[in-house]
Amino acid sequence: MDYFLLKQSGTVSIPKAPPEKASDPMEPSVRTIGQVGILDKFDYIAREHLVSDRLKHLLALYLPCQVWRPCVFIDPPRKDLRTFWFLPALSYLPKQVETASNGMPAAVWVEEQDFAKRAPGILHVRSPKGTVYYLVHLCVAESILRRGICGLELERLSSELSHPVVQL
Amino acid sequence: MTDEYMRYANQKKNQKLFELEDLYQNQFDTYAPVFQKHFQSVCETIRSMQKNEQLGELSYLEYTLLYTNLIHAEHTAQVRAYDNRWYFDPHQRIIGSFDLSPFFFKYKELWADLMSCRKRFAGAVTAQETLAYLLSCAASFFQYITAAFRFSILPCIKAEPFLSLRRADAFEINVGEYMAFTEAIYKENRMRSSQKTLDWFALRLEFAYAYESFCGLDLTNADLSEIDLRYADLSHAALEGTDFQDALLYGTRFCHANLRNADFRYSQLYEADFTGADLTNANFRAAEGYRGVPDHTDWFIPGYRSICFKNADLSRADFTRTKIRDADFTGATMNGTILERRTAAHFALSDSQRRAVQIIDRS
Repeated sequence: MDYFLLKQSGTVSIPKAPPEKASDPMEPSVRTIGQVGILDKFDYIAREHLVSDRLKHLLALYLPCQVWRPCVFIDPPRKDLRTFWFLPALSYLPKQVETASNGMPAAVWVEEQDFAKRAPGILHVRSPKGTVYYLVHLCVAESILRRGICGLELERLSSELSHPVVQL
Repeated sequence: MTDEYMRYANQKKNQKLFELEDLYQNQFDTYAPVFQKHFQSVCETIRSMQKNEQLGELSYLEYTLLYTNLIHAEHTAQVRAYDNRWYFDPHQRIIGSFDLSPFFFKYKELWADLMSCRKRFAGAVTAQETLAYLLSCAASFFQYITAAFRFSILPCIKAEPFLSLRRADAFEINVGEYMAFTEAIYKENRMRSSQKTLDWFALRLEFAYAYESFCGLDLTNADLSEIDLRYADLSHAALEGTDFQDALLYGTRFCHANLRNADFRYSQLYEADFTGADLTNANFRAAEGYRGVPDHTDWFIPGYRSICFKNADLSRADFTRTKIRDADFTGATMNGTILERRTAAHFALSDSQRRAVQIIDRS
């Protein structure tokens, strides 16, 4: 199946989240950063699974029912800001995910019926060590690049499982 | 990205596209066999997969430009086969890949040029911005692949191995982007009847009939004036006396159709194909169609190919006041075809055709 692993392109250091009120998890996370312009190069920040505003607008088309939480980076001396969004946790689980020796996803298999009916464009998978990864289907990957959203990397996963799922 | 760089990039893109246009118009015959050979091999693969029950009935065959390949400088189009669920087919199979590099070298030149000249702008333009711009240009270059495929595979779809493929009643070959803009270059629809089609045409829906197949239908004396049949296929159709006045007939295929007494007045006939059609007494007054790009300064689509009248019967057809130029009349019968003295020079005719036509002065 044609899925790609969403990866950060290059390195960036972002300030940690300030302590938040447990009662209001959907409040924007506001962080102060010097030279907010350095974030323009990034459409995906892996550490906290943040996506740029333009990428969020595209992904929201594939996740119409999701609630998105903003993360705003402010640069007070320059009176400038950039809005990123936390990728939401997704309930849909693929039928099978194979991981490479480093724990990263290597191949994924979505139930045939699900693919034909729901065509899951974005998958949220967790490695055995608990690390979260986001996978996007070819249609989403193509959409991203067609729109010139290049501040990320898309690593193609193997289209074949080494132990194929037997459809009953 | 600075305005100056943007201007430079747009000008370079325009230049490379016009260079490609020149190749497309003048060296098409050199490239056509490359497309044909690849298409034949794809059909062979499908036939063998169907024989081995690895692939079922085919509804869609697609040559897909993938941006996920382009960013890695892989200039290939993926060939995918789908059942009637199209993109929702969980078994969609990759049949092969088509090497675009012989046709994408102008794009590669643009890529190299913009990436290197970016340095002249002293850091004002990032590699990422240039990459985004280059990706946005790819579809324009790919349109030439679509156009070349459309015209080059025609002989292949009338022959084996294509004919023995198990195809659904509605089948199409597309060229384009994955789950985005694609163009049908060939369609089949064995479920259409003449009467239902006429009823459907009577609704004059916008964009609904373009690219569709109406092969072999009987639409004799039908009123198809002002209809949009761009790139539709009316090959072998019975169209005697049919009214196509003011119709949009860009790239429409009328191969071997009966078009006796058909009325094409004021229609747009750019790159229409009348190969082997019977156009006796047809009326082409004020019809329009020429070869090349519509605008010679800014590129926006691939230029049109010549209108093709190869081996057509144009006896007593009326070309007075026509705006048809650069058409291909190879082997056409032109007994008593009416041309106007003023525009006769626009028709490249053989000596025998020149002797057979009737040249009149505009009244």
